[in-house]
Amino acid sequence: MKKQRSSLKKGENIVGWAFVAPTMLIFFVLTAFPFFFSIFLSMADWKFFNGWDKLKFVGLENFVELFEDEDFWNAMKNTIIYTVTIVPLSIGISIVFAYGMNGRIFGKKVLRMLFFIPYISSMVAVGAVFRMLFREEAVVNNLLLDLNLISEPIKWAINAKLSKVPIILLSVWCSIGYQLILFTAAMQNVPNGLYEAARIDGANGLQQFIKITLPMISPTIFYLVITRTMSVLKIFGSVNVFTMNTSTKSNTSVVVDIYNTAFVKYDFGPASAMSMILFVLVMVVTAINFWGQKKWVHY
Amino acid sequence: MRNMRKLIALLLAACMLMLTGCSQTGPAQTEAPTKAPAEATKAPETSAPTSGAETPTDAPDDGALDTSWILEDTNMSGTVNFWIPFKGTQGMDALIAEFNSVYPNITVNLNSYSNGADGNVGVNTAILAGEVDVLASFGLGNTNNRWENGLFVDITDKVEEEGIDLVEQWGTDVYKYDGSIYTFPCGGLSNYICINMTAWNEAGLGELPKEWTWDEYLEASKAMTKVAADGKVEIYGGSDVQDYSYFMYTISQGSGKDRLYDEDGTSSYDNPRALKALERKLKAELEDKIWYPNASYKSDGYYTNEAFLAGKIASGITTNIVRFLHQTETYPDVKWVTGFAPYPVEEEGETNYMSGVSTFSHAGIALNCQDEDAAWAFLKWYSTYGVKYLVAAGHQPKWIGTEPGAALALIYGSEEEAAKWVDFESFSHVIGRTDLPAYADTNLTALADVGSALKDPIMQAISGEMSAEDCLKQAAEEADEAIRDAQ
Repeated sequence: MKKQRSSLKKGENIVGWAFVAPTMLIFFVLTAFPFFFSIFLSMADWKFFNGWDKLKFVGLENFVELFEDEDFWNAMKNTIIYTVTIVPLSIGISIVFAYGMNGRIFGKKVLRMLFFIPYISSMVAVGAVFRMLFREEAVVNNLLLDLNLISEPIKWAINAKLSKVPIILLSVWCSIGYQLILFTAAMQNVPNGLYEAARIDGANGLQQFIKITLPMISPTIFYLVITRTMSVLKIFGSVNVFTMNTSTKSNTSVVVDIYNTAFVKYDFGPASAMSMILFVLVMVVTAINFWGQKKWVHY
Repeated sequence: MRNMRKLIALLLAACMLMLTGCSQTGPAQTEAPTKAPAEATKAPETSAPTSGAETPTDAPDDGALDTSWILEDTNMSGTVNFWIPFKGTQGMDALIAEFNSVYPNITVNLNSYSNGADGNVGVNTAILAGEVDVLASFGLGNTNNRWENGLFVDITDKVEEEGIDLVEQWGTDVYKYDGSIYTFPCGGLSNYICINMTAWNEAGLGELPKEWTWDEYLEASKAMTKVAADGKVEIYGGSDVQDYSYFMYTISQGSGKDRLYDEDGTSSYDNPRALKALERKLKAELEDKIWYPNASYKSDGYYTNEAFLAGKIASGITTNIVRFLHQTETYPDVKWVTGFAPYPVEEEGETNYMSGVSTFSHAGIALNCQDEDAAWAFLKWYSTYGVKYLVAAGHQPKWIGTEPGAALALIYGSEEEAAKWVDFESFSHVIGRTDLPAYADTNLTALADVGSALKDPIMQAISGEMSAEDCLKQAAEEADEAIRDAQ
């Protein structure tokens, strides 16, 4: 009986492994191997097409060169600017919209759907639309001119000071829908009793929002801060699409720099080194977020 | 029953994995293979050659140009995957049809790719996968990148063995890498100014010039510029090319070579001609407002050709406008005849190395080619008799053996049809002139970095945020550093 159970268990184990094997295989081939190979390549001088025999181990030389590379640090600065603007803006706007739509509001479902559409739309299509909106004689400039906020049209795509603005707005707009859904779900889980008790105690709407809603949805905020930060630190699509693959120093990002180094110059060593630095940055920022969450996230 | 369910689930998972593994993105815009040799029919009428150097079946020696090496055993069989940025309707179907009339047993599969940065990454990946046999590589930057990375097969031995003289055939032998030949410099571009003849005549500018200076072009631009009552420019009289570094060609115009490098090997951004050209451009665009602003081109992702075809500019520097003029469905605004004037010179009497056909595209056998004999036969044919079909896409043949005057017929069908769209006399005088002086690129040191050194400062210059002098100074510093690093 015991032997039969053991062989049954063994059989189940084999079946279990067989089930996970496809996923494990994909994980090892497409995630684990490239990751460890990137670490190796970050310490190598290797051009993609030159073959293995021309691969040269250079130790930390790529990193040393990167630390002296002004363009890389400029891209890093832009990436950080994108992160500290896009993450709070998109989360803040999503919370406000979710709060507004949490009560009784006409056409709530339609509105939710409309907000969600950008999230499921192709970045290429959305980027092209934004590009049109921000053309010299298009809607955005006309609106600003009508409101007397500017005296002549802004050339958004090439203006060194303002070229990041459309990219930030594009990224914010695209992410609101998904965040809105999560915040709406989180807000619906806040017990009504808390609001009733607060109202009895004389709390107004703003106080209820700050003292009840925000703390109660803080785990969702934390989750989104982590995932959005990781995502925006790797910003690529919106920059590449909006600038039509001609980003300049004023709006390029680290991942755009990595892409150009790897797939335009085929210089995989420095590109891998950049990836490693970005990976460490993402890790550190995430660790800081996790450490800080103890002070403001209420489970 | 439970085991059966597990087994089915396992099989499904395995199938999904196999499907995932087997699915792959095909080559960009792969067109269906051209018909098998036996089925090969004549090319569409619109792009069929009505004149031009058609392939002689027995390759006769014309007395001047050695063509004996071009044709091999025309009964050979094989398959060639040919990659070029143009579609079948842009002359490529006709090209293949003519090739098959000479080599009926070689099947040519046409793959049209996008010549943007991403499209070229796709081509290089396809080369590694062995999907490319013959590649027409457009732009020196892309081609140099492929030479550097060994993506073309070294054909030096073949060229020497068959006694192919690059200078005799294509007018230049400078396009080598590390002393080896990888490609034939067979495709070119004419640089010229297209002119809306209605605007030209309304401005009373007389005959189209056979040669002229930049000052004369500025005068003509001013005369053709139309300003509304509120001071807003309705039609700009002239325009530079939308490419931010095009003004640097003033150096090639005078020297006959490298626009980005000086004689001493340093970058040419500090060359006085470059400064003069940029100051002229900025004045015309930002102060006088007689040229369409480059800042608007960059900001709006707009092209000089589009501006001309939409009637927003009365003239503009271009290289390939002729392929669009008769496309009435796409460009319904074109209701004028277009005339052509040569690329202007800095000083009267200077040799104009921008008046001839300058090398722009190169063709070679790709690394991992599957059928090298068929590929070599096709490469030789494409680079000579076949290259005339590039005119349907606005480009020019560099092969000396191309019969003059073939372009009009290939693009428009006939001279009568062409007369509806273009001024025949100026067209013949300006476009496709392989007999006139042309520049060649002799220095390729850190080419990509030297080119991109201008990218950031020029954006500020064309926006009026930086002077021409500061812009070029900044670019020169960055470019020279890249050149030093490469050396």
